[in-house]
Amino acid sequence: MEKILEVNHLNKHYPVKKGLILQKEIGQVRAVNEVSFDLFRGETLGIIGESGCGKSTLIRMLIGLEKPTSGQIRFLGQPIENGMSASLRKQMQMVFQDPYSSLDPRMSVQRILEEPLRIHCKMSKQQKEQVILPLLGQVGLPREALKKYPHEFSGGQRQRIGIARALVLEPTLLLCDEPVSALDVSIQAQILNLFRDLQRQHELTLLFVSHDMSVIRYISDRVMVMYLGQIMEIATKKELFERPLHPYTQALMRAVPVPDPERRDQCAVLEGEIPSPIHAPKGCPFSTRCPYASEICRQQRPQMHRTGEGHLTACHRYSGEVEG
Amino acid sequence: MRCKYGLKTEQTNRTQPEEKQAASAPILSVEGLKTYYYSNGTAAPAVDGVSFELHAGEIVGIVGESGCGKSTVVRTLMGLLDPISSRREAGTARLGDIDLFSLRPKELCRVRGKRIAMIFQNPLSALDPVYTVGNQIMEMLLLHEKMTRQQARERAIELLREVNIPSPELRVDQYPHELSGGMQQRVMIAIALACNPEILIADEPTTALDVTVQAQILDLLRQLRDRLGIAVILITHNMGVVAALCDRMLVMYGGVVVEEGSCKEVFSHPAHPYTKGLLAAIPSVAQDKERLYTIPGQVPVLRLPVRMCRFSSRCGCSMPRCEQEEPPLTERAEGHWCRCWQESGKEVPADGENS
Repeated sequence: MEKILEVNHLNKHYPVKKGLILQKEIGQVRAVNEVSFDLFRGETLGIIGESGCGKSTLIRMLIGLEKPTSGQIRFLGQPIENGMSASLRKQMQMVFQDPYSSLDPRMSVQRILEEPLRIHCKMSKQQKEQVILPLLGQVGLPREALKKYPHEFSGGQRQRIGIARALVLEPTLLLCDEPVSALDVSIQAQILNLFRDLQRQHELTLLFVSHDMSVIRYISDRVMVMYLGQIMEIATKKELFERPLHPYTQALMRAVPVPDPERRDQCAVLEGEIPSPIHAPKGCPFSTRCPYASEICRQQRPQMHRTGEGHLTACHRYSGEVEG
Repeated sequence: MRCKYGLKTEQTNRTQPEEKQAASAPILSVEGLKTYYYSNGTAAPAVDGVSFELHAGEIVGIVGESGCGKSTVVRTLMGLLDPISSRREAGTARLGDIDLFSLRPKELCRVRGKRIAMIFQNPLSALDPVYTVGNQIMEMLLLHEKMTRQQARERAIELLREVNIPSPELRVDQYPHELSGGMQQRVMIAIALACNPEILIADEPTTALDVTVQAQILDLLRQLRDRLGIAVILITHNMGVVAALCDRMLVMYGGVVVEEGSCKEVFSHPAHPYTKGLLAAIPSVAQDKERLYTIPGQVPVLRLPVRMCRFSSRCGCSMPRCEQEEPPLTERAEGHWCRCWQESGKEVPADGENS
């Protein structure tokens, strides 16, 4: 399979400063810490994690909204950590979380959808319409929507506009940062199905960030679990949900309330809270809450261990396995 | 299975779903509550005839999507409506022997916080940033109870311990911004519990929290119910949260209750097409779904008077009658009520075939 995206030892550290005038650096927030993964053509990689785990920072670095502190990103074979050319730029688009703030309220839907074409392609008015109109149908909006403004639409419809805008340039890779978390359940189902249909029609590769385990299970082929800026576990969906190995993944699975009152007792509680990223634990980031934590976990950051076919786990408990 | 068939009117004395509750009188009973919002001279029926009862030690969930009126119900009960844009049109709410809506503002203040307390979705905006959390808990105690500041402070520390905040002696002097989201929500709960209320209203208490913290807060609410016997009204859009915590649930759509029953009953035998659709639309953590069922369309904008089933425009099994007459709540099984003309209701496919 062709690698669309290769990420190697990617880091993003923000300095923590103190003082008004002489801003002394007193520490670092490691928002993304030594993250490495590959993304293959046509697949959906789900990224799951709680707030502050670095999933949004990671996505913002990939699309170029943040500059990495160190590490390499190769997109379609070319390094992009220092910016990308316009032709490469076209190939990667993003759908944002909040459909209210990500659309310009003063632009009509037609202008919103035409904007990427205006920037990247020289097209006549008719040509632009030929691109936009079928897309509008695909995302389930009527033709009349073109003349309207974002405030005339509901949240779900706005997200459809946002998705159409991302697809106008026929990108290879679509980055989705929590695209359904602001939507109601029935609308969420519509948008998730839409992503699936569009992925088939446009042969898209998706990187899908969410904090909702059930959404990730529905949409992804492979899943990556992040905690405090690091990858804890990465595996195919089937492996991860049927055989979660990392204690954090296991805790996360048990914390999700299942819509079935008969299975109430299975909901177990993980003690403690995510440590502040400024004072992140020295060893394994999860060691402060992990029921299996031992001395080595507090001292040494675990490597990724290969624990199955395409299954990598960053945990000392699996250090007997081959390093991946 | 339908045991009996009866119309639920405002006068009907309703049987309770569980036997242990049949003996006790409800601590809160709401009848025919209507609240309308007004803008540009038109009325929007946000809540249009909601009745329910709450018993001691019971956790009742109100579920629905945004705009279904679930928050407006409890805001009306607490007297928190904006008097300019909204008005309570009809209905009564009895808390024990007092009528909540006939109270004068001063009298209401003695009930609110003391007998009914509320926690909100976003703890950081509900807490005052310029006071320490201790101060904010003490405010409740000094207002409602005869206590000295010293006693109130000790009680505040005790309350923080009760909601499982580590080292409460230190936390009591901290400001809200120094605490994490989960801790802030715990402080909110501590404030609500300060005067040992009979009823705790929780309006989307875990929506802003991470799943692992959400599990902790749900666990805390369950403990409080078991330990203090407090009755809880939980408002949420998350079916999983309802299943994890509630004894009974009300499903709201378009300002009315479309289904009501014990959680076990509603989840295992959902009767209303909307409830069925909602349950089928949730992706599952436990199993792979080929395709999600989707409820077509969106929540309609209602105009008064409503003379049809509010769900008919999105319903897969709507009949001509649904367009002409609003169905009443009818009892489908003991304590299980549903607002639908379909007597048993057609099955919704598990994997969406409609889209």
